[in-house]
Amino acid sequence: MTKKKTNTKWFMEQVENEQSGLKGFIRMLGVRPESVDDIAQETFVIAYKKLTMFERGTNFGAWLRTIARNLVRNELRRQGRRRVLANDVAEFLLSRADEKSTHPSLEVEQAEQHKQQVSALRECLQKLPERSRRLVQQRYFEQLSLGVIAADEETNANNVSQILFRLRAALSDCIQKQLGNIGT
Amino acid sequence: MTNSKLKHDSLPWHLEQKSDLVQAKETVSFDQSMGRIVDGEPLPGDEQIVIQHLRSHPQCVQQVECHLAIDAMLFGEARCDSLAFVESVRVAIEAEETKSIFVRSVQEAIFGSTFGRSGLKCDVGDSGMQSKNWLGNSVSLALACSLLLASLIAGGIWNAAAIGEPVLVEVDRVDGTNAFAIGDKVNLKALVLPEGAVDLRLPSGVLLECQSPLMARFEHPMRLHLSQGRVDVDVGEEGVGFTVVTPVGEVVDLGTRFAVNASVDGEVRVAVLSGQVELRSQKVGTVSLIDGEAVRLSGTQGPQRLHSVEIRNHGIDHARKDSVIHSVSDNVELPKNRRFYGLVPCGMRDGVRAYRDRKAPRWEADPSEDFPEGLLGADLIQTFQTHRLQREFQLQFSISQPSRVYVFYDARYSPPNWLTQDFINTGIQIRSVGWSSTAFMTKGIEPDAWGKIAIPHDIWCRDLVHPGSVRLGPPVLSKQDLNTTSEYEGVKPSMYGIAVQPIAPPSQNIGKSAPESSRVKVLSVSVQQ
Repeated sequence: MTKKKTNTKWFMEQVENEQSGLKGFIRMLGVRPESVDDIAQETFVIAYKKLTMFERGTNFGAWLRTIARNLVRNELRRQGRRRVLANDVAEFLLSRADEKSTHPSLEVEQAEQHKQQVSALRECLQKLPERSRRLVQQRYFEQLSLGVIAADEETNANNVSQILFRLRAALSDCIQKQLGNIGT
Repeated sequence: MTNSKLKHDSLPWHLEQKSDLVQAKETVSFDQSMGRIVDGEPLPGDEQIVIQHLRSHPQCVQQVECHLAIDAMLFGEARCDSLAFVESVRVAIEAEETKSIFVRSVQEAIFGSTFGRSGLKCDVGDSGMQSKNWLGNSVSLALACSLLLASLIAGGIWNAAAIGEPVLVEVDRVDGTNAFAIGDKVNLKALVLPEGAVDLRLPSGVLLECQSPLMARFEHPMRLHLSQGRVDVDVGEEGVGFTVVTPVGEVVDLGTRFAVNASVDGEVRVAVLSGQVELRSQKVGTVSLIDGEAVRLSGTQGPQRLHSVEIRNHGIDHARKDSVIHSVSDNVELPKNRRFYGLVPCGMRDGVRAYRDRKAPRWEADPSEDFPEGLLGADLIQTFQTHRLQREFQLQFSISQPSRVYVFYDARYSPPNWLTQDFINTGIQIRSVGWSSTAFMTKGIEPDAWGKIAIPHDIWCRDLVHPGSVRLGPPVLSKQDLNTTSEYEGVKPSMYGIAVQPIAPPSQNIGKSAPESSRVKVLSVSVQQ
């Protein structure tokens, strides 16, 4: 196998391993959900083009996140249609991500935790009451807007947003408990 | 007097209480604003509230990150398309490689293989001036060629005929053309289809249903350039990442079945028949479309909702090929609404898919009954559930010849006035079958003897003796209707279904003879003029 093919094969393995965590990271920078895949793909394409600059053995995920941060930063500077919501909030989140990047141990911990968190999330979703599961189904699986969900539930969009907020908080607590149980 | 002495770092009790209340109110406001931002639907002022709170309580940024992280994981679980995403990255990388090779080959073609190296010899004497002129000219030439190259790449013409390889295709189906025969195996680079239709299967298992007039070209087995015409793509399991390139953008499959139609006026239409695609355009960036969504776009206009898409149904052998239904649309103008109505010519039969936004439910006869004869082979409009609760909802379509219009209305609920005024209840029912036991629309419905969960629908019909338009209202009861009913009515009926069957002029149609087959039930309805 030529060196180029070896590199490509290795790179695609990294894409498989890192794509879920990278998408979560990009979302945490305030990127719109419908644009997360787009920016993640751009990140990987740039990483491939600059692969000679990456030193094997160092943290590939951290390198990807640096590229992703720069892409999101460029997004904030764009004049036209942007793929982040609430620019000031995104700036805030971006500067926090920049701070974390100066602590490599934090980055490694984040990547390792992500897989455990996804697994814990699946367990926690099973424990949700019926109405909450239905909301998750409508919002995330059917991708219905708050207004449509509100009409179906005979309430208003603001209430739906608050219920989703509490639901996410509950899932976060549940995931922490699950991870705590795994650790003991 | 120490009891009354205040500590330096505490407020008077009443001020502390007020401070707690203010803080609690601020926290609620922050939570609400933050929640709306995470949900992607912030109200004016939400951003300021969140930023102000984060500046005074920087520890709360962890809360924001936590919500976004959960949100991302939930979206990730919902889409479950990691393989499709990996494949789309692979395709994107290959496209970049191909572009690089093309750029280098064009540069070499223009400047020769020594492009980039300065190896010019000049005479002594006025050599300095000559070399300056020569270098100046070569810089101008290089600039001109770079600009040309840039415009070629920007215009997508870098995918010119110089790039492309023949692809071995197998002909699966032929209709109305002598260009191919079923079973042919052909090395195809360019495909021009002036008449008829043909289905081609690629080595990856991707199935292309090509409809004339069509002009297309293969770049390689996973990439097709469509200049004109309609192609329905079914990628199966092996063809994830298959891309159709159109004059206004690329449609990248993410594990799906989709249709792309490029017209001579430069408009491109994309509909997702199952799964998901990404539409990539230089003008508008990337647009993701899911099952049941369709858009049209051009070089000058971004994606706009496409209200209806004709769904091919090759399994039906029917004398009538064209639909009598045209121009299906509704009055829902929500900005993110991209739902389309599926038009299935002659598609109505036992077991046909009922809705475009629900994969499972099918129209079926009651198990103890035969499928209504009058419905067989009718043109079907596959509606969707998404907007069924909007009280102002209106759906309209036009028909090109005298027809019987059928509406299948949820039998659990009293029908709305717009239905009872213009339509007749045939007294016969069909069912939408195959709902999940957790679907909220079927709450309270027990599985039938076959273990299926089904919603019964009354069949209403109306004859239109002239071509014209039909307007239908919402499946929910209006507030006025609710107030006039004698009992509380649930306002969540399932979306109705629609079918249209062309009929002979009324004088020939009344008193039609008994059905040819004893397997189906006749719908006997008096004709209203």
